[in-house]
Amino acid sequence: MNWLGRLVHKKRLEGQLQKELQEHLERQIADFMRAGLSDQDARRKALLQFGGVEQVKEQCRDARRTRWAESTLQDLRFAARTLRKSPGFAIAAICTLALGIGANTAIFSVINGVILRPLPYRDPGRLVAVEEQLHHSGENFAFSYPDFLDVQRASTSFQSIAAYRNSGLNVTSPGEPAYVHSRQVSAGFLAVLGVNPVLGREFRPEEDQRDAAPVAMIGYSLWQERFGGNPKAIGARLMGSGNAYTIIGILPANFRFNGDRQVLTPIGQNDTIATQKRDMYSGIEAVARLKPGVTVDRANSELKAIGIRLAREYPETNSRMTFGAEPLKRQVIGDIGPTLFLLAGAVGLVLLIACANVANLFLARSLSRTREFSIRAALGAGRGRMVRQLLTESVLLGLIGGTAGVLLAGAATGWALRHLPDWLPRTQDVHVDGRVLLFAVAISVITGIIFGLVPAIRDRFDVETALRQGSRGTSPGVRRLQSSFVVAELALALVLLTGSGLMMRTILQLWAVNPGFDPHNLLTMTVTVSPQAIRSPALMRTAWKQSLERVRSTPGVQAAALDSVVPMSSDTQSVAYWTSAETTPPKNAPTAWTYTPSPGYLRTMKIPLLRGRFFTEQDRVGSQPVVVIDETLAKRVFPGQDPVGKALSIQLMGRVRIIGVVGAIKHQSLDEDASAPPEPALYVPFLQFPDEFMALTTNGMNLLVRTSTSPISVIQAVKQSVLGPTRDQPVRDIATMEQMMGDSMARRRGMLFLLAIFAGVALALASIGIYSVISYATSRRVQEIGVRMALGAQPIQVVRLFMTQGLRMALIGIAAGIAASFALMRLMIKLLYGVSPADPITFSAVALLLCVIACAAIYVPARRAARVDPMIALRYE
Amino acid sequence: MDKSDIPQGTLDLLILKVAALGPIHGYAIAQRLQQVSRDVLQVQQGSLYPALHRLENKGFLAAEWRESDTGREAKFYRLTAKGKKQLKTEADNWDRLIEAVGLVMKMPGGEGV
Repeated sequence: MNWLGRLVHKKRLEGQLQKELQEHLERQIADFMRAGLSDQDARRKALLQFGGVEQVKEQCRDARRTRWAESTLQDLRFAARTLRKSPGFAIAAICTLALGIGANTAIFSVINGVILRPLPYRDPGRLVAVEEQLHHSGENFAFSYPDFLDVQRASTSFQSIAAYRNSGLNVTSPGEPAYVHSRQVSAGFLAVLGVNPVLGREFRPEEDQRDAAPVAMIGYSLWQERFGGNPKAIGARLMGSGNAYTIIGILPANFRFNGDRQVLTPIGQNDTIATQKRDMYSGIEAVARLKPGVTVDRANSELKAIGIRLAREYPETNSRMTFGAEPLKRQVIGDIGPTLFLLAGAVGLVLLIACANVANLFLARSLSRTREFSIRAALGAGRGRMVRQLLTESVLLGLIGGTAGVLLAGAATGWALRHLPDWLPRTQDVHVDGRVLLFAVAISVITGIIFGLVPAIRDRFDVETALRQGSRGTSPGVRRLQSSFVVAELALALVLLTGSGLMMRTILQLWAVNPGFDPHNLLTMTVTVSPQAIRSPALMRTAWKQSLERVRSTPGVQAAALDSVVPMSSDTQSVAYWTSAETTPPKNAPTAWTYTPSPGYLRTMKIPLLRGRFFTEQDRVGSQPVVVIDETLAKRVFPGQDPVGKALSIQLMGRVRIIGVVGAIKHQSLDEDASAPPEPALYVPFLQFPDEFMALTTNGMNLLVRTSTSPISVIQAVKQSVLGPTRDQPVRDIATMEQMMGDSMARRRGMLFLLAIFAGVALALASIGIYSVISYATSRRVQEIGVRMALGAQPIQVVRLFMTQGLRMALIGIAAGIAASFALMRLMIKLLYGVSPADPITFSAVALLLCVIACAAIYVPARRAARVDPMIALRYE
Repeated sequence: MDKSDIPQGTLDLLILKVAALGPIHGYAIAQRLQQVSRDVLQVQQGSLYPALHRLENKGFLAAEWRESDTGREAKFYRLTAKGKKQLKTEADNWDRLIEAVGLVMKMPGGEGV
């Protein structure tokens, strides 16, 4: 029987032990009687020869080596019994711990999923992201496809490398017509990641070519929805944006790479200028698998050498470009690390407060149990045994609280990830796994030990004084300990309150930033033209024009315009520009944000026109090429002059005439002036897009709609207008500009939301803490109050007595909290905007708030104490 | 001849040796030890059982309850494969110890102490 068996089957073993020894004695007695002894003598002699039966039994029990476990179980049973006897205490402690441990487990599960867990691909340590870079700044660029092919051919550091580019398809059959996010990938893309299709195969190199027949891999959910999960989908047709794709593979259900893309097509089949020009950086990225033993550094130096060679070969396009690699995981995680660790610090504070609160409860309870422990000491229980008993109780509480906390954390994380704005990478990897559970168990046990040790160490189990003193009276040592816990709780709560206060001020400041356009009643969406129209640039221009006209005549629409990039989205588009006609060499040429709007854009966005004019319907292909610049570019390029009428050279566009200057806008987020000087922008007329560019609009343009009423109310009508008579122009990604602005501060809003919750919990716990300490103090001094009142003290004086005691704690706590915040808020500086980490308004507001709440928490028990009847109080024991 | 206490740690070796002869219950082990050692070794019979249980829990002995000659159920101990190995090691150790002690005792001088 193994150890666990011996522990569990204790009763049976006892029975067997008894029987075995009994058998021995019976035989001995029988043998002695056979030798002629009387029954009585035989029995005496047998027992004598055997030795002490009980001692033998004890030694046999020792041989089982289950003793410590048995006494622990006994302690646990006893602890469970005592907790059941004071359910109020147990519930308060468990809830407090569940909040503290739950919050920590939740944040740890996020850190675990996002940062600690390896990426869900084969041997992920060898995966790197490869990027084209500006070599003077190291700023990452998208790849140009010819550059990618050169890197793929020349590099020897990689076992394999693949390019990918996000795109989209208007899928028309099988199933309902809908826009589907797709991705163009190199042959061997899945092999780089070490992922196998669940059915079929991935693209072969000969399919990754311009003239090859269209093939596609589809995602698992698209396979389920449009093909009912039928394996015959392999070889079937998928109609998308006018092409008939033969399906050759199906992706695993849980496969995710940089988001969820349900259709993959070979990037080599893309014959638009997106992949043909060496100076076109149209969102192509690359992922590679290092050869075994090759470091990222070695890959980087090889990539730099390739960059230098290409710059020599293609000076016109490549003189300012180079290449670089970084671990894929680093690219995926981005800069979320410090934010998450800040949150971990915040929940750590919540746990400390919870600990202090429960320690206080424990302390108060251990005082009322003084008599019990003294009696046990008098009966011979050692100090170690009693400390062990107390620790068993506190660890048991910790584990129960921890279990509740893990359940809470699981539910809360799931909810938060579904409902909070999208601000975390890898959310699909966040769940409660073994490591998270281990973490939860560890902090539960450690927490239990910490708050359990406090009363255990304090108690000296002094039998005599304890028995004499009974359960009344309190020592100054205990009061000081309780008070310092409350002071610490208040200080920690203040730190969290300050953090969320600063976050809130930041968000308010951001909403107050003028984006340079009017974000109210502005609707944005992505629209495409009918697959019928994409056959020729002329048809496409007509289709775009007709869509726009239909939208403009929709009721509730004031103005509408098309644009390639919407401000406040994560999309970017920029080109190099030159003031001279001499466009070479482009090395170090400055770049500007580029928008390609239709006429009516200015009216739709309500961007002020500062000089000259904006585009009209007359600025189209064939007329003089024109451009509108923003005031930032005007100041930078033509300081002190009127730019209107001057010429500018623009990458991909050539020489153009400046016809107007407009106000500067915020491009990607409202806080961009915090990190860098404003970036210049230029506006190229959509109507002057050359034919070869029109194919790029197949994936969609952004439609901006200025509405006269709430933008939400016109969504349906606008959708119908865009859909058109052929009903094959679906609309996607509909959002109001205000929603987009909100999303652009998603990380800060997520931070504010979580910090506010944590600060709220901390505030609640700290006020419960101060409330219970004052309640406890009043209940211990009922007799004294009775005497005072019998001698003529007024209730107000009694209230003042306790208010003074409580407020002293509160003020010390607040002072300590302000000092700590002063030091700690500097850690948040990257998340703040328009507010100093030592913002006096925030600091005084939270200090005042904490003070008011502390006063209320003190007043309630103080007031109750003042209402006692002196006669009852004097008799109270 | 005086009766001697068993040297410490040797009881385990003796039990294993006896159990090697076949399944046997506790009383019989005690009897066998007494007979074979011609009553020289004095085992406090009770102390046999903690040793038996220790050996069982370590897996050197396996125990089984079955009917004995008295018609009552008795606990029979049997040497396991692991126990056989242990017996061999301990027996070898014992031999080496005896030899070493014997060598020391044969040293000249000190006879009369």
